[in-house]
Amino acid sequence: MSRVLRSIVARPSGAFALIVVVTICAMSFLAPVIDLQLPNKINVTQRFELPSAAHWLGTDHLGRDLFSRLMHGTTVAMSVALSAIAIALTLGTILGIIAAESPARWERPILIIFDVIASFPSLVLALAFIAVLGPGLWNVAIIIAITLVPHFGRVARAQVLSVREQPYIEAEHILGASRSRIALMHTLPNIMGPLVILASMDIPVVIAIEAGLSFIGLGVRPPLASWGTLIYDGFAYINQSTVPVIVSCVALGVATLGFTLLGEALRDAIDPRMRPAT
Amino acid sequence: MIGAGDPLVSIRGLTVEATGARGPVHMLRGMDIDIAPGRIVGVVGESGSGKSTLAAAIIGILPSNVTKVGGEIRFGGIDLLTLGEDGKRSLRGDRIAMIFQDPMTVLNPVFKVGTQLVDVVKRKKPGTSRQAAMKEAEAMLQRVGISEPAARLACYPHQLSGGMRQRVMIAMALLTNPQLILADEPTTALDATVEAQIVELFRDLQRETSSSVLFISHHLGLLSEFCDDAIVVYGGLVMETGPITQLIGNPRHPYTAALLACEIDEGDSGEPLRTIPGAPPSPSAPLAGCAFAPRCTLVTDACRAAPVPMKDLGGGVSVRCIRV
Amino acid sequence: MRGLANAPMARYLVSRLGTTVLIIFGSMLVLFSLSAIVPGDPATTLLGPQATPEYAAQFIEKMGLNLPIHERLFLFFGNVLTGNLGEDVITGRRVTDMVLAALPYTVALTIAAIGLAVLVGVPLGIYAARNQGSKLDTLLAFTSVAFIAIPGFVVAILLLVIFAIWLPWFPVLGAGDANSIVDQVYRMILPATALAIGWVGMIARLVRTSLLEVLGSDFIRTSRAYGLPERKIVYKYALKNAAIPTVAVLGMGIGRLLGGAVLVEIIFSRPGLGRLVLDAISTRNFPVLQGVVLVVVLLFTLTNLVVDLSYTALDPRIRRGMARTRGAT
Repeated sequence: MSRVLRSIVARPSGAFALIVVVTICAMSFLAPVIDLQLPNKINVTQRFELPSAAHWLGTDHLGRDLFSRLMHGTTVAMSVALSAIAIALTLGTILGIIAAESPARWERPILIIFDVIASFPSLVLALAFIAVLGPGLWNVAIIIAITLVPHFGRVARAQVLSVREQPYIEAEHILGASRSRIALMHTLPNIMGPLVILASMDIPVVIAIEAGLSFIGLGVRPPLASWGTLIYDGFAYINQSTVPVIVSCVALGVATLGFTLLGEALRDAIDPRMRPAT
Repeated sequence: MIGAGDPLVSIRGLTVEATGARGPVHMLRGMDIDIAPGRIVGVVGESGSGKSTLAAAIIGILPSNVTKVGGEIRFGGIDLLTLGEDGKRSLRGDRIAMIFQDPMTVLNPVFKVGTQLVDVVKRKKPGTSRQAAMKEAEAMLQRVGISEPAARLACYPHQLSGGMRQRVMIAMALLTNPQLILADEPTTALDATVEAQIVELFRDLQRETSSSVLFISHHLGLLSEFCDDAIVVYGGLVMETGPITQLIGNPRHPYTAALLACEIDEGDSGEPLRTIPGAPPSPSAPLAGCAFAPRCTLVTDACRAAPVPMKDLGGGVSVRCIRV
Repeated sequence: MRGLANAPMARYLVSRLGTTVLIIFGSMLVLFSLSAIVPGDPATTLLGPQATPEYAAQFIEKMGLNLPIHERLFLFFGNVLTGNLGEDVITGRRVTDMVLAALPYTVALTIAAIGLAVLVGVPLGIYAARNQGSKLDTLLAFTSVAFIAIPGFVVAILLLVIFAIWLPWFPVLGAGDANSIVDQVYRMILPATALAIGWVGMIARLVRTSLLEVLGSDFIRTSRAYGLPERKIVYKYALKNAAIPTVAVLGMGIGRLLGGAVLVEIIFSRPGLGRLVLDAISTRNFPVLQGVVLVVVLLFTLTNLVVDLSYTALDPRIRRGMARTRGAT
């Protein structure tokens, strides 16, 4: 583990990514605990204030403290990202293993379901579901998870198929171990590596989709502060002040960049063969 | 300019050094080679003896980890090593052509065979029309023994067998009508029957073309079928050189003899294939004495003491051994 | 020889088309189930709580919501297959017409973005590969990740703030005067750039990696050994090989681009599918939403088909092996 960490911080982009991600995680845990400035405290006499000692990043159109809202936004973003990925990873891995281990008449339908889900652009599929189920933090997480299931499922299946050819798995078969035992004790640990890397690389994707949905009013609803709703609020008042929209856009941009760079550093550290286009 | 009796290629003290993971790698340690016009010269040695590096150095496409090249390679009087990149490129595909080892990977997979041959013809003779170039390519495929040449020109490499691809490669070399053809183990990747056909092709070419050929192989018996001269290399050095009949009939160097002994066994059913015990010298270690000393059955203390010079025995035969 | 090459090709084509049809039917089924799994009373959910009971009853009748589910399924499929995507619950306009009116704007924006990305990304990638380690190469290595990672709509907003508010060089709103092509192009520059930036990074990086790998291959060594000019080696022989992985990866990215286009259209107040879908959601106009999503999926699936086929055209080896490898994976 320390070897992986060392190789991540060895390059500047990895060190930058680690700082960003650690900061975001810290903020998302701390936001509900140490609430310096209430994120929803309205103060109409202090609208569109520029960054100052009292309001580190200024205030929005209702005089709310932007830094405090951004901090709460990280909590929302991380909750959605982690729960969506946990769901997608679990479902995708189970379906992928079933597809790989079961006869063709089970495998085909699973693959077709993957293809169908993947044939929706993820934002558009999420949009369609939310239009029906209604917005909200958990709906968003579940729906994003559904769009990501094929991603994990396909990789899980491919991994199982390649691991299955390994001599030690064949040996287990010959020794008469049951299929489910093999899948649980041997296949699963051996396919987790690439899946975890994939999961880490999907975090910024989920954050971006959540922010996009919230931006058009379909994600997290006010008064919860999400990066998407912050951008929406800032964008709505763009003619009065560009500070709120710039601040929230930059925050989201830095966050997705940080997570992407960390994902890439992690991939290169753990499994260089997964580099794209080689 | 070169006179009538001068060699086409004259290599003196050629050294090639690369950077490896653990320090410098001596790929060639000072080679002297002459290739006379119109002769087919075989180069033989085990893997790692420097055969392929020799060819790559002549045509100037050494791997990127090569850091130092010393000595000289004179080609028709020009020193190739002092020539700039443009000068070297002007020789390639014009006066020098090369045939590579693995026919599966040396042709571009996404272009038709015809396109690749036409570009080589046009490179040799700028201004040739595509049609004329195609005609020429077709005739050349016919000559190297490819049936239905017109149809093959419209094929992609993956649609042809390995043997056929190697014939295409040979056709490509011949299309440039070069003074020198470098053939780097052109039959190693092919199975025995196809190898025999390609050897047959080279035997025909020996009669028909005026090109000099440097034919690299690890198989002395194969070279004896069509070569005029042979060069035995070991540890980045020439061990013995001379007319092929001399080398086969009267090997002077123990290494040549050992290679021949391996040849004789080959094909005999029942008996295991004979090999020379031990391994070739590591290219990253400096040589104190004779490169072959550690594996030589006739080794003496004098062999290990100092580098052994090349000795001219007359009749075109030279040997690097203290015993002669 | 030609016939030999075409038999597997035809088989591949048929199986690929079959998959496409299956996927389209599957997504229709998903969309249908969406309307079926609506929690609570479908009329209230679809029309919103303000609808009068009379109107709701009329709506249920018109939409066939009172029919058994399998009949509704057949009705839905039949309608969609005959090009009838239903009616706008508010204005009664045909959804098909509304979608067809909005579609050209979105398609034009997407194509402009792809064109821009290819035009900038490919030369950047080639330059970086040929001048490995140069300043531009190092710069590209970092900026391309940033471009790919930062969501398109964030880039769009930042571009809008910088180039339309701080520096009022570009107009913000709308697609421009329908009669003036210059005005339309002018107004497309910012949104197309916003959409393209991520792709520029992705294309440049892909072209660089694949070109470097190709330039180190045996067949390029052959071209070099035959003294072909370096320009011809790079631009003719290596580039076509490098295009294969590039096209394949880009095909997979088109979905993200369409999703991005929806948001960018909303930000720049451009007419198009994005506007349509947003309006449909805010007015709970389910048939319109369904129609737009279906058309986007159709667009995405068909583009993927085209990408797959062009990929096949680029790489003759796939024409033979495709049917087999597809079956195995």
